[in-house]
Amino acid sequence: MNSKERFEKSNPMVIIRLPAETREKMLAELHKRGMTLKELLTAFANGQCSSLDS
Amino acid sequence: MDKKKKTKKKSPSRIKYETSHPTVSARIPVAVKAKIVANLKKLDMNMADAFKKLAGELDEKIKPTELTNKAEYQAGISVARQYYAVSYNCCKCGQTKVINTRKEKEAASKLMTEAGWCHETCPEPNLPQTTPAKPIPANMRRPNPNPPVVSTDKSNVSRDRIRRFMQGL
Repeated sequence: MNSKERFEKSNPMVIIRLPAETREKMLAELHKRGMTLKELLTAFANGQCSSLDS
Repeated sequence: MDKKKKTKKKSPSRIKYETSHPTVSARIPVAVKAKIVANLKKLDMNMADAFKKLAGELDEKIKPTELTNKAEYQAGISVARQYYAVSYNCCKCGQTKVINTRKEKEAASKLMTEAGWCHETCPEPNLPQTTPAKPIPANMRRPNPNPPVVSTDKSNVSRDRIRRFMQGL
């Protein structure tokens, strides 16, 4: 197992299929907050995403 | 030849769906993914729902019925538990435990039998089941307004018959 394979195993890909409109809105929301998708997911994992907790 | 085999032809509807529903993806550590899955499970959502909510689409208008039904269901369960669940306190930790297993039920049944629990309507086993009615003394009896006619006189009977016959005419 090379380093790329190790990395891919320890960092799996999260793929979500969304309606185009929703995806655009979501990306716009992320852009507004100045976040990347990865940052958003990490924040949600750590319970820092208040809009989702409600 | 192998290459042709590997590339599966997509149906037109699939192509249409994939163009209208593009993907978003991110590579995150396993631990973070596990946390996300746990959090989503707690919120009773999936990943797509979370993103929809973030996009402002998953508001009260879109997903109310499922949530309210679940809430009502849970409320019903809690009421039923309140009425029907039999519980006891654990002798070690003191926490309440509902009687579920067969062993627990058998033990409870045994204890109740030993303690002498019975039907509310059942009479005491030593007492007679019904008190017999006291006979009414002859002087206290009410006279019967229509006493049964007991007669052995055949001529009287025949006279009655004739009278009834004549009345009929």
